[in-house]
Amino acid sequence: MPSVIAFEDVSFRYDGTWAVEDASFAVAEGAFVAVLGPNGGGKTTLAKLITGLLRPTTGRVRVFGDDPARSARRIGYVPQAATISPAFPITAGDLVALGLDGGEGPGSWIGFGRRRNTREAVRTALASVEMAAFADRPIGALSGGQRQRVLIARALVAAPDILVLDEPTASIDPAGRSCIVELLERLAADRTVILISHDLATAVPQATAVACVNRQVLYNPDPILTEPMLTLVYGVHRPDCPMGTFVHDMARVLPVRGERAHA
Amino acid sequence: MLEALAYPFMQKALLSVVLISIACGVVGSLVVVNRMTFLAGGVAHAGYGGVGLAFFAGWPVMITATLFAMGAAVLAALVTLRERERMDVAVGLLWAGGMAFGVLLLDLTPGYNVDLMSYLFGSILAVGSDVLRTMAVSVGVLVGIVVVFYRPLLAVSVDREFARARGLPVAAVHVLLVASVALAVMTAVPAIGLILVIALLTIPAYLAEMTARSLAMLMVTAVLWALAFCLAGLALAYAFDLTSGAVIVASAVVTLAVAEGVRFIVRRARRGLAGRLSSATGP
Repeated sequence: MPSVIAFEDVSFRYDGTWAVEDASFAVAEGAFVAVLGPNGGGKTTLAKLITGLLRPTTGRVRVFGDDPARSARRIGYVPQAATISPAFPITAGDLVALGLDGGEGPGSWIGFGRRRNTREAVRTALASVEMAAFADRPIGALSGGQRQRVLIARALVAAPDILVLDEPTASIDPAGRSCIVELLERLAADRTVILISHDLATAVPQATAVACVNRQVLYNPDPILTEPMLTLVYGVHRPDCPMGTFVHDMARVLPVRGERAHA
Repeated sequence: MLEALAYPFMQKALLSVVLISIACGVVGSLVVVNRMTFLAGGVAHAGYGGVGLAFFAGWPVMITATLFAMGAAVLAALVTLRERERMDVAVGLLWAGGMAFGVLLLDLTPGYNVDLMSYLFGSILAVGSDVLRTMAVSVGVLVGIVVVFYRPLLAVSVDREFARARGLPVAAVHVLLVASVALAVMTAVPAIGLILVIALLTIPAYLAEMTARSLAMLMVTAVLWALAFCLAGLALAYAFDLTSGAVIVASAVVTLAVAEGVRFIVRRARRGLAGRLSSATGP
């Protein structure tokens, strides 16, 4: 399988603090990568480096062999905790249509009206997340889970080859979360997916590869958590194990906060 | 009342309120959805620095003040592009610095005897043909900007990070947005003044936000609200010999208070109805 994303000795620093250090890995086409790590470990920085929102301090990132900014049209992005105000006067359909703008020069985003095939593309994207009936509903009238699905449709509407989702289930109730997990299973069939989550139950079922991020990045092209990964992310020492097994055993293997503090 | 329409000054006043309503309704919608009211206030007061500069240098007042306010606003936007959370400091500088600069230059202007109050509170009945022409050009430019750049303005207003990820020139759109705010503010200044323009930028758009389902609809509704306030204010000012700018803003504030009151009552009634229904269908 050819690689679609390549990190070559990538480091990134925010105001003197290193968020990512010496990351080198390649993501194969069609992979479903679960990106795991503690809060503040650099997961969102990794997503922003892939989408071209951040540029590495040192090293280089390649997406389809090119600069990520030049591949913007081929990347669908669902940002963490999207800051869209529920009061913003926009319908779900119009919000999804924004995912078609950009990436092809000024001709693709200047103007008042939209191209003729926009309505069909929006309808298809909303249908793929089972939200077609909500196209004319104001975004403020949707629940958290419905809004998240609309944001995924916005990322999908331009038919991207790579989908990057940053904590898509962070602010959703358990029922909504299982809907998103089912949806991700379907979406993974014909594209490369990078799913950033600290919620293992969301990330594990479909993952074909795993990246553990805690300033360092450890990448495994198989869904196996290696001992160095478990040490890096959870601070536990145990032999390599499949992600599913780890989730199953998680309550036993992960020390609770107090125990770790006293250890 | 209608006989007043025969006076040329009243005809010019009516034309100016139509132009101001378009400028404030369209740009005020962008101000409200981008939460930029404080920036608009800073720009308005920075414009006073341009007024001082115009008198000091002997340049045309409105054009100088408009270019000065736009330059100051764009500079603040560029400086705070990477750190939007520091925008409050930049706006504070614009606000106080612009006023201080204007006062100092007017102090240094020999033989200065201009009525300051007309720039702070405006004088809608004294708008001349030359100012009206400048206002018409400004409104034409603003409408043109919004029509041509509607989609990027919408994308950046909704979600900046996503817009940047899609490869849109977010920095350029932000600068265009801030420059448009400065142009709209300075368009309205001759009629309602630096201070009262903030109300006309925000209140019509805030009221329109209650019903609009798209940014375009928000702009159209805000223009209609602004026009209603301006016409009501102008009529009341003429009838009772009051300061027109202040009456326009007062009518907007009263309408906003009534709308919020009605919304509060409707919400309470709905909540009470829902409570009664759930208790009636409960075990």
